[in-house]
Amino acid sequence: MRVDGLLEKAIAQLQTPVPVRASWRAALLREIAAAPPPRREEPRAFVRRVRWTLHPTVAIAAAVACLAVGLASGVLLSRTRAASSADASSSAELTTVRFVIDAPSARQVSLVGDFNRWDASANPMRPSQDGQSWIIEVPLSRGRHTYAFVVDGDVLRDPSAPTLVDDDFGVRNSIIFVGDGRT
Amino acid sequence: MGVPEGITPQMSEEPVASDADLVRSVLDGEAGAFTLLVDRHAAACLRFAARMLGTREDAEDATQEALMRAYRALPTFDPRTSFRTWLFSILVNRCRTSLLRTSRRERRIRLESDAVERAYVESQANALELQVEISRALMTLPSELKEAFLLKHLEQLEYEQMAEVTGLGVSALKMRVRRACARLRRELEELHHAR
Amino acid sequence: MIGRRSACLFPIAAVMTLAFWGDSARAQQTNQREATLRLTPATRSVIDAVADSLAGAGLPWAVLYDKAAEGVLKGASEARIIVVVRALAVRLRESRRLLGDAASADDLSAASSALYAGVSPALLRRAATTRSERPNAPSLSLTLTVLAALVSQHVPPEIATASLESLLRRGARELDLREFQRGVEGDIGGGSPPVDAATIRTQHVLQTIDSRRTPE
Repeated sequence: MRVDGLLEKAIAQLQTPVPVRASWRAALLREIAAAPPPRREEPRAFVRRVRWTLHPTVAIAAAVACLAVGLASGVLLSRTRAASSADASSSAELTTVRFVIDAPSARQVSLVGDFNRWDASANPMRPSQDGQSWIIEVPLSRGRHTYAFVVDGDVLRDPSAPTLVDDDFGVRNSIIFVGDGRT
Repeated sequence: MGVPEGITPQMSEEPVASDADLVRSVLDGEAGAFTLLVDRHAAACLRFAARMLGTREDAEDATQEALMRAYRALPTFDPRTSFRTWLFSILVNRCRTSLLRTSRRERRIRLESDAVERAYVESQANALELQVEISRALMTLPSELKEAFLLKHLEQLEYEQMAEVTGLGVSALKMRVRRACARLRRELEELHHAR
Repeated sequence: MIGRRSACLFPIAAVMTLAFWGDSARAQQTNQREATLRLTPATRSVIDAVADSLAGAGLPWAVLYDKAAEGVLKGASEARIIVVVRALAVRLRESRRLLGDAASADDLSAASSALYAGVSPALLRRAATTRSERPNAPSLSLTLTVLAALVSQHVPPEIATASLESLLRRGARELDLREFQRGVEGDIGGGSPPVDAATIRTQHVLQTIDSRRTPE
């Protein structure tokens, strides 16, 4: 950007150093000295070493019991969740949305977005009967979602949908608003 | 070849510690290493904050808060990135907070001689007059334009670095710098002709 | 052979398993953190710290992991991913400051896109206020998304905001805003100056809204 004479002078003036007052510096260093020293963070561990005196056999038995209870709860929970996913189109919370992209010469297309953690293996699309496009139906929660297609390894936005302005990684995404059962 | 960023040139032959080295030292328990980081970066922080906020008092508060936050957050600093850019992202945030606080009370552009002296004085009469004109012109800019202008032309950051500091996209930043330059030019021309 | 010390870890591991399995929020958190497993521990640690900081402030942290996962998919370097995640966190904080505690995660994401595009904090707040004054107005996230889209197409932010305000005050619905955005983008793509496109399309949509009110 061209900066002309008047602006140049202004910039030069603005670049005049602002003296650091000794008293200010001293006060800052005192405050730093009084603060707890920052320490490198330990790698996050879900299991911490605890000094327990417990016979290994007792420990293992207790663990097996806990795991059995946990597994039972987990199976129940995932069944409940699966039921609500399968019934998505009639659920008040999820709406089935159909995504279509024209890609007649593609070998592999998948849908990625904030609803599947941008995982290209999570939602593979199927080719249409005439082979001209690729299709998938996905249950989405109400609200705003960003997405894209992965076509033979390339991430592409949806040419028929509004584009998100953020282009942090060079390729813009598409955006969809899921309303009350309508998109 | 200029001196790499974050390095203070030294006359002796001792190896100069990079910012990342100094951060590592602090985390290893060498508190004195942070004093070196302060001395390396405080002046630039103070200068940016002074131009952004308009008074030395506010600039010193914002800079002090920024350096304290940086000290506490050192474990999160990624040594692969620029310490200066990281520090400035903290400082920009502090300045924004400070501006929000001061916008709640009435702010007047103070051009009395003691206010100018409190800001950044030390010149002959002509330069002082120019300084007042520039301060006045800068104060007329909306804060988001001023911020972009100062990061680009005062701190001389690349647009990618500015994006990291401000959280904005590069094209938005270029637009802001362009608009800031246009407005400043207009203001300065008016003030200059009014002399 | 399992030693005493190792065996002592089993009850803890089991209790932790039970806690995670039974707690869906925790499970989601684990899943989202797993999405960034393809990053080095150092990078994951930085992202975790930024996410924890947002969580501590009551801000949506999951979007940071989405953003990191997006970066992994698109082949971005880890340094770039960290920069982008940090920048997003900055914008989310700013969005919260501007929109207040009642703003949803979608609202904050939309606001952060608007900030990214260059909408000033003042204009963003103005658009949000105008929208909140209208009963049955389109969602804040849609309103701000349209605003961001227009500004990114070089419609001056003041014009874009004023156009949206006109539409909202006249009772624009979601479909109207979407038609407006599509129309402006299409006109700009066809060579119209952004200001003209925004001004003319605003008039078109206002007429559409008015014609809905006209009794047959």
